[in-house]
Amino acid sequence: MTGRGLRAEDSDGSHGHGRDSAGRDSEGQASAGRDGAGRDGEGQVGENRASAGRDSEGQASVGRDGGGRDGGGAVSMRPLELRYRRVLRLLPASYRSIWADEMVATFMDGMLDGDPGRAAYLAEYGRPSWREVASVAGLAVRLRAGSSGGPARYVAWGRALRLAALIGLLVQSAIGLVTIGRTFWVAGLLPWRPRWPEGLTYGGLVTDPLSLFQTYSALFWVAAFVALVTGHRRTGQTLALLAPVGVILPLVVYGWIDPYTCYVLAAELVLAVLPLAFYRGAAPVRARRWLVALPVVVVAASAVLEFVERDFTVLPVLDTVGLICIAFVLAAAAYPVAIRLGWARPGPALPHALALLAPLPLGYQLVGLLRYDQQVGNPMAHRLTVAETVATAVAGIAVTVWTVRALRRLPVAADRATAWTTPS
Amino acid sequence: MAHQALTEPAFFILAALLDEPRHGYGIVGEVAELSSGRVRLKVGTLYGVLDRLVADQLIELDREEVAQGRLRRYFRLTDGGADALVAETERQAANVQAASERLRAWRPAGGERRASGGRPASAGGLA
Repeated sequence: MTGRGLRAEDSDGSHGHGRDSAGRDSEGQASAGRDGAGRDGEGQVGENRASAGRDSEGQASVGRDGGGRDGGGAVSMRPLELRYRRVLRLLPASYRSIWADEMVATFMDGMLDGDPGRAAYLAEYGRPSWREVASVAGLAVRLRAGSSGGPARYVAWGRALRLAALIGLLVQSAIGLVTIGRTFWVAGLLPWRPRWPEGLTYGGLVTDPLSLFQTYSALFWVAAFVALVTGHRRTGQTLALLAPVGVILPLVVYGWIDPYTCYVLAAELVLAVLPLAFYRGAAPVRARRWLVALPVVVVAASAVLEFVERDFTVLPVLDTVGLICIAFVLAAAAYPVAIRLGWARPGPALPHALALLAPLPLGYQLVGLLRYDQQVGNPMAHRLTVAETVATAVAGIAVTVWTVRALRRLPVAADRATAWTTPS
Repeated sequence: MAHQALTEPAFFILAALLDEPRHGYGIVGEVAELSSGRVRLKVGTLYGVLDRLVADQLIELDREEVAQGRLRRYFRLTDGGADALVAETERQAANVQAASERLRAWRPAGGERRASGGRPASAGGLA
């Protein structure tokens, strides 16, 4: 019989013992004794806390503590417990130092409850199931994304991830709407606009179904953004995860496996995953300012692009990625000024979010530069792209350094009386 | 104060703590029993939900014990937790009542389905 089979049986058979903790304790003691995990039971909570503190430092001390507590002194921890403690190392150390021992106890009780022979086998050869590992991994992600009551550093990470998600969705939505607006313009559906210049090629002119799908799939980003800021967390997350289909489908159908397309896909996947930082119970978004920001950004981006394109010789110079780079540099530069003027609250969220997002426009530019080189393109466009890339890199490094310094000042231990802290 | 709808694990954990404080594995067993074995909490899930419930002040630490060399923390329901459980139970009961009324209209006691809006009963039946 395999360990997996035993685990399944154990899991299935564990319910009948659920009600009476005293009864379970005695059963657990019997099996634990057989397993060599100890018999003489009752210790002091204070001692246990001390051992819990050491627990976070490493498995060797855990083994020593476990053996000592459980009565043998020289009795080492069973392999199953060691394996589970290894999984628990996914959790932040400060959380682990308080909760690891109890999580181990709960896990071991569940695994070793029941037939003594099976329990002995599991204690030696059993492994945490992938569902157990997944549940610990999920907890680790949520704790690091700033679960309520967590240490200030993790709370800051959570805020930054959610802000980065919103900024990313805002930018993707704005790009999508600007592009769709241009397809309308090209098609003559905007009567108040002058006619689109003859002979000026534009991506939106293509009419094959897949390219149109790619263009209009940007509405996934828009819908995800609106859903997320209006509090429809699950809907927003789902729509964001669907949004990269606009890149994936043409890639699959046409086999566009070039570096640029692959990079675009990778970047979109990052942006699609970021909204998962909006876990249940996360601080609500200030919807109004984000809902106002979207049309403002769309109108501003359209106006800038149109202004630049009046002289068609500079058309390749400032594309949407270039615009994003310039906006990124301006945001990074404006932040310290805004704090000094009292227009923004000092805190690591915005620079941290910008630091998280910096690789995306930077990567676009670098991959784009490769294409310019291959195409021996417009030298002026090339020089300006290099300048944008360097400026984005410098701004990215600046916000990253600022963020690292700010995060180091924040404690990794909780300062509020919640489950994260020692609950007594 | 209107309570946010509870997730299923949170709902069962609060229900499991109604009669007495319980430790982690006690909660796991009680939740499995309350849900007829349908909800089997994994340890990471359990402590994630406990973390949130403590932060929301729906449960709190009752006591700590060491048994068989293992630390056990017992949690108890707070008044706020009991209120949240009552509110959630009422919400679910209202849902059940609304759906039951629709079901009775859809399939009356006589056995014949009553189609609404002139649509043939067979067209929208459950597969």
